[in-house]
Amino acid sequence: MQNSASLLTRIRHDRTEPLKPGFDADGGERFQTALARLEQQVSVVQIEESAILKDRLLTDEGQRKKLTALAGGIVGNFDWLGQILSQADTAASRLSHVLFNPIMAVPKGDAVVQYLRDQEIRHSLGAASVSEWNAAYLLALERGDLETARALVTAPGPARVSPDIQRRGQEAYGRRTNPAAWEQLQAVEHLTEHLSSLAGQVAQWLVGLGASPESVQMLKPKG
Amino acid sequence: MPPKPLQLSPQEIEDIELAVDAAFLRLHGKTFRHAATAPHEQNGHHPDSVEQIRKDFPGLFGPQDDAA
Repeated sequence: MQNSASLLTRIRHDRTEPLKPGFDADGGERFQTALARLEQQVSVVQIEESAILKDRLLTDEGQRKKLTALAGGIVGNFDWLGQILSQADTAASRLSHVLFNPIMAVPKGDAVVQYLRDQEIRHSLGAASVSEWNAAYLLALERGDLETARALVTAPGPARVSPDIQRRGQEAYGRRTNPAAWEQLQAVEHLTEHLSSLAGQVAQWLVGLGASPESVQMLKPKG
Repeated sequence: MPPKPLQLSPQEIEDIELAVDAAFLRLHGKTFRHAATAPHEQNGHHPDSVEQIRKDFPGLFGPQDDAA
């Protein structure tokens, strides 16, 4: 069970650590800012929690009720953490769109002509094995031939290009063609990973104090 | 006499596109072909961009002072 002391220990440990691997200077600063805000908030709650637990006039039930009331009153103070995670999720989705959407964007022009062209491209591979389709897809992306890449992954029926190769091809394409967007995506994903872990612990701590699980949904990691 | 139209082989076109991509990447941080097929562009919308995303989420990107 997460309690105030163990949560503060984790926060303070992270605050004193040098820049975590994978963070750039900006991301590291964002993470440290979040940690500082959390430390301040959790410290205040810890004092109130401690006062309730030391109150000899309260029965166990009385303490529990007071802690639940305390948790219910403060849970909204941590919404900012959920909001950052939500923003990071949206930003990552838009960056992915900028990076990878060109691969699947259908060119302007006659849809029937495009369909016939796609069919012709796929016909050249015919009944080749998945590994040959995979190789053709990666090669097409490497030389910037998006029409071929798209035609291969949109083939009707069972996937001819494996999902893992699709992902790897997309990533290599994004990294090569738009390194700025790629770096930003990596930075956002890295920040999200660390903040999600922190938010998960905050959610556990709040529920341990007495907040309802529904009230901390915003802090729960997605997926 | 009108000038003769320039005849380029597919390989020459590919070489030119690669050279333009390389130059565009140095100048704008992304290849020409990537920029030319940016999302939304074909639907007539303003294409999304890293710059716009950074602007829309000042709390996530850039120096902390930017977020203020």
